Amino acid sequence: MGVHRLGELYSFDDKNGVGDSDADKPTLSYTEIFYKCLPQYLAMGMSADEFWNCDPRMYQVYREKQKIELEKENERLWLQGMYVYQAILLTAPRLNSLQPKEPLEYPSEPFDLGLRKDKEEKDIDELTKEEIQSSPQFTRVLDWALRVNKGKGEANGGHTNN
Amino acid sequence: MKQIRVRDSKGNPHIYRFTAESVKAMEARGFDLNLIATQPMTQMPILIEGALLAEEGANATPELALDIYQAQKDKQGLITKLIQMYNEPIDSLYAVEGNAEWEYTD
Repeated sequence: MGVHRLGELYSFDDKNGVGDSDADKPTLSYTEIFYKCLPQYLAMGMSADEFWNCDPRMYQVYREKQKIELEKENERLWLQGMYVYQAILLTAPRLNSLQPKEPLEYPSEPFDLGLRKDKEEKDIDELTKEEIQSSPQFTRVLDWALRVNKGKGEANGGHTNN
Repeated sequence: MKQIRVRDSKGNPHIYRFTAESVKAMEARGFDLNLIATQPMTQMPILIEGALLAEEGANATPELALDIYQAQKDKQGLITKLIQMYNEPIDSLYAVEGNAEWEYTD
């Protein structure tokens, strides 16, 4: 009986029997390996023509693409879980058997994922001076400032600090 | 993309490169990288012809392949490089960047 693998020459006993079965397996040709990998790359969105004739670096590109898609899908599912979780929380008052209450209203808008905030900030930046001056908030602050100045002027004997 | 620019005996430019398709065609013709050292007379012509397949297609004839090969100065270096390039499509299929670091100790 011949030695099938180098490990058999060592003094330790390999009880797992992993190596023997591998050594007897015939090696795959490159073509067989390509055919074995083909379905995986087709599932990633690569066409068969591209698989056989592309620049070999494209295999890596498609694997990266799949990784990104998986991450995006994971985030999407996580967000969906958040909505479900919130929906359960909002209906929780109704589920109280001792003191049932009306369920809280489901939010009319989706979660703010940071996109709307940027938009609002941008909107403020885009306001013109006239728009700011004509706003009720600005008018209120202006009235208050005038009242304060008037009060100070009266306290100083009619002299205001200009 | 790894490729080699060569010229035939008349000075016309050609490109050597490999794709999965050309590797498949070469194996169908009986090419085996393990046999290149022991059976160079049968394996080498397939290698130099197969390297032309991706760019030349049906124009990659044994005559053209031989003409290009014979016109080269560093034939041994060219064959070594072609063998490395032949492995590129299959390496790219499995190439995954690992995080493990190896350390050499004396």
